[in-house]
Amino acid sequence: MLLNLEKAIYIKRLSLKVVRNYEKKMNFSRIYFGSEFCENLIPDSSEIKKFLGLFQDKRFNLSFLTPWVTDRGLKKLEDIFKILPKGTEIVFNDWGTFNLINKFNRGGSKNFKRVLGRLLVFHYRDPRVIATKNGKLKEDLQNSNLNAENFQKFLQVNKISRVELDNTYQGYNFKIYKGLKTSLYYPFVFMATATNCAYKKNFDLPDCSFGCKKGFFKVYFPKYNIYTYDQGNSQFYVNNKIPSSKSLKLWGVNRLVFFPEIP
Amino acid sequence: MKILAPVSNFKEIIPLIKEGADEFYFGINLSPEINDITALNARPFKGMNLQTISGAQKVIQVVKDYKKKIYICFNNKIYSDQQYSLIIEILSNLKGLNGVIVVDIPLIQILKRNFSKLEIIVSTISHVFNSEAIDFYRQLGVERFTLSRNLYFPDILNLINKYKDYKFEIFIKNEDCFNINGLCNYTHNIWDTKKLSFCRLKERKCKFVSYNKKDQRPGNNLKLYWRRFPNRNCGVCFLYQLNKVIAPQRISLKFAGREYSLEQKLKDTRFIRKSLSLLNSIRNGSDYRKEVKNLFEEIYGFSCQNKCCYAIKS
Repeated sequence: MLLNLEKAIYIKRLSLKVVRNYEKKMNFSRIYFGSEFCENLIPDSSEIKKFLGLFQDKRFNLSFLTPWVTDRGLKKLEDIFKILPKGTEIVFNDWGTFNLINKFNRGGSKNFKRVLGRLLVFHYRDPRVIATKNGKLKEDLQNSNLNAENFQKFLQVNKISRVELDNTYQGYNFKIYKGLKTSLYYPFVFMATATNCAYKKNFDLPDCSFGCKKGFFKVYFPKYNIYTYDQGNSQFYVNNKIPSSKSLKLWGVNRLVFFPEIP
Repeated sequence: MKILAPVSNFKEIIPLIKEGADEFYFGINLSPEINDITALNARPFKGMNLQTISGAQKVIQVVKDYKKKIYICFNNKIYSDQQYSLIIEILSNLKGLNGVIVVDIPLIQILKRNFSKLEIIVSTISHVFNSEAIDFYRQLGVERFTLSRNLYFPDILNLINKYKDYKFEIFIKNEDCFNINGLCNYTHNIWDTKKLSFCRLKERKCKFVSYNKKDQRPGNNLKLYWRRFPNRNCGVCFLYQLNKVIAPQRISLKFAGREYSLEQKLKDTRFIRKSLSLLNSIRNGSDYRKEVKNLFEEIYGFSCQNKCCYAIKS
């Protein structure tokens, strides 16, 4: 079964050269940019302008990723939303950001497309699932808040037309309803995030030294033979295996988002 | 400020009231074997939950006899259709509840439709971090907001002062998850006999991988790595600053530990109540912290470990 899948790539660094390199390897038509896990990493206005300068009006579609935020992060997003072109797709990972998008959309001035981020898709992402032989357990762990018909209806009523999914080992068992589409992120599966960060000199302050930009921790759990990747305040595991076309169709996936680096 | 205490059976209520608790919360799971998936709330462990509707009704009745308030937790992140039906059945059979602690948006809608007299409290698992999120949940009908323990102190004060007519819950003790509640996707009661969450697994090897290829640091950076997992679970010294917000009486100080012994719950209640009383006599933040630390040692029998959350490490 062949699916017509849109291909997208997440870029961490604003470089046309980097994008061109990836372009040689895969044919993508959409670029994701922004931060999902930390408000300190929200790009500033000048980076957004640079991003738009590089990629707007080229043949790429653009998606802007946003993280969970305090009021400080909301203020940054507010400034960015003023700059983003009408109709930009915004992935929100905080219901407060969703509310802010709605404010910008009122009166049709921005008409941003609202996309439910993976942080708001409740789904167990415990990597130990790969080691289990318990089929029933694996099945149970396929549940997510998208299983609730009323949640999917809520998304549609609120004009949220797309949901972002992680490529978890166990996959999902929801059935997508008409009008809603999903994207599948791979290979880095998000597990957990915190306000704590290994690089923070002082946990009591929101300030940050951006130590996470220097590298990440590769962590091995011998009991389960599992590797995880800790980047700043967040943890991930890797799953490179793309699910079958049948599963993708069932979950409404019509976009694959490739993360060449840990987000 | 009120003290919101956890209970796991009706016998705990009167002693806790005598110690100074004003409000109570509990969980219920009718099935004896529960895990992260089958539980009706975010604490899928034996001993943390009542197991019968009659047991829950007894808890509510004792609390009502003392004219106090009581809330039930239905704050799991994912529910099946059967679990929604079960929650409706449980709530229909309980008389005298004041409210429900929730995360799930469809459940909030169900409660608004079917149980309009119940106060809806948004759980810390909903990670309400900002004013727009408060507005969002308010539009859904939420009346009380549990602020995340992961928030910085000025952020908490700003939110409480901004919404001066709203009610808030703040975790003041025993909540020590490394990650943001609600943004952690590990299971906590599924895998092995010890039921360890993934984040609590001690046996691990780690290596720092630098983006700069010239950076050849030694492989194991465990000390730096473990900084990501600090143990911070007490915010009692924070009461001094919290008392200065507009109308502090709309704040409930919540402590976690439904599974703890009654003795432990009584100590926690006494510690918080006495720390609140100190606010009447002490007029200076550093003196307050000093007195609270003395109080800690007096009540728990060992000295304060400085496991401070809310940016008040002294």
